Amino acid sequence: MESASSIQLAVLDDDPIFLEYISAMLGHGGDMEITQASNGQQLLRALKAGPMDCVLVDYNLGAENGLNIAETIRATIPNAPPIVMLTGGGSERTAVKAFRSGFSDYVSKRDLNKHELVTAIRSAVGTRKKAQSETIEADLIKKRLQFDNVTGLYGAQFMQERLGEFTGRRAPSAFGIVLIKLRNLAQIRASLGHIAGDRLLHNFAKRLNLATHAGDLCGSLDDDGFLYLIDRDVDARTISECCRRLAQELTLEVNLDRSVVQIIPAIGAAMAPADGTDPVALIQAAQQALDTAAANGKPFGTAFAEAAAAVGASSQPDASTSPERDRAEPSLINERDERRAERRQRVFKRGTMYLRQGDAVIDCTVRNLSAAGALLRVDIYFAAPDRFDLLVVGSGNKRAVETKWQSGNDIGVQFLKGSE
Amino acid sequence: MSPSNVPATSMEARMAALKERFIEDTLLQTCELERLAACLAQPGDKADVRQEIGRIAHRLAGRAGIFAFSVLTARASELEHFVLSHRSDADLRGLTETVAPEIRRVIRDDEAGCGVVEGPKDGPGSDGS
Repeated sequence: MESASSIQLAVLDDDPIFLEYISAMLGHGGDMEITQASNGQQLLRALKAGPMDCVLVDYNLGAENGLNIAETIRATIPNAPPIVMLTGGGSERTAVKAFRSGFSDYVSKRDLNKHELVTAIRSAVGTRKKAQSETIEADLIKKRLQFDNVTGLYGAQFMQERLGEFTGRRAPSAFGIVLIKLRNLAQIRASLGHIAGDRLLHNFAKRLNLATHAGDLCGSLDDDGFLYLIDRDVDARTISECCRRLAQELTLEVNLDRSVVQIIPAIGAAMAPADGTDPVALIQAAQQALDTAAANGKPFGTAFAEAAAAVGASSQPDASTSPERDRAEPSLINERDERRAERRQRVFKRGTMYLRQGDAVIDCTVRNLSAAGALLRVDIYFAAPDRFDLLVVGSGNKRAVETKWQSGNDIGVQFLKGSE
Repeated sequence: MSPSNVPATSMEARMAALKERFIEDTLLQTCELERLAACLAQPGDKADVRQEIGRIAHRLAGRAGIFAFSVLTARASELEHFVLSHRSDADLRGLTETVAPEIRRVIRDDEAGCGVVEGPKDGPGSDGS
């Protein structure tokens, strides 16, 4: 009987009797599913048709050679499976060649030992699985490091690196930076404590994430500041317009336990290359604009010439929305709604996320659910992997999902086709 | 076939069928070895003949062991080694003409039930299945 965890093994041998024998012997226990190939072309077709856990290749294939075939596999098959060499010759020289060519193991045909062969295959598969899970672990850690634990947005290091990339481009192109700070964060921390300050920052970051365009980069810059990088439609008018909109949308009241806290953002913008050509100069220019605006009681300031005076840089935030603005900067909330094929229904069910083939299990709340996807909320922030399995408690089987977006503890996922 | 010779499991049946194929193919290849040995006595370039002897010997050495014909593995390996080490046509012919009847004898003995059985270590059937 074939089990879900059976090893998918491709065997290449030009001797049909030996091929049949090996397939019968290894497939007999039911824990290996064998795909036979009698030449390199057949093997490559099999590897392209579906994932294999391991490949068993005869060294001497008449017109072909196991070493060359292994090289072709590694050159043409992404994430190539480990390859175990079978050889009739059995010379030490061949064994050395095999290991130098990256074969996982080497088994002699002439005094074939089933246990030895099975051990070699299992060991190769196990080593590969371990390497893969280490890679996934490293990717998760790397991804986690990209995000700020408090805000759920990109972390300061990531944003500094992106800014460095923007300024370091060989063919410099215009881009804008917007520096956003909470004017009264220090006071709030002093009076309500750091935990309350972090919660406030988290709420502010969520609102900021919604207010910025999905195609732009936005993340933490330091303890109380955010950086927004704009590299599309860059001119003084659009950046000023963007600052005005941010000032409107980020002026809000937040309930912290029994206190209602008024958040007032301080915003400063600068443009490259006009206001600076390196990260330090640009941030300084934006900071200076921010300080000047704050000192003058203005909602935002720009380092570049105020070509956008008409959009109301010196006026108070205006709740009205111009048609022009709708064309230039569509609201992210609307955009996310358009991305969704169907309306989701609020369900508030318990869910379980199975990461890394079930090695890690995380409970979540399924807040919205539709035929196409779901909105999940986790209790503790972590960077969701690109893909994982989701079980909505009480609604059947696990389904494979793809992470479409993440904002802090909220994760939007899409069900993958064929995962029902 | 007497009831005691009926294979107990489909695995044994599969192995029995494979062994049957092996024997048939090996006897055909033995005829071919004898023909090639005769060719070695002819004048002219023998590279293709030697290569073909090497190919047959290599394949026989590889597959004979799995059906408990360890003697054939050893003799075929020796023949292959003669080809790979560029022994003279006369030497190769002599060995080929010696090995061919040995192959027939070993197979005949096995069919008669008096062959020396040294199957593959831990091969199919040796695990109790």
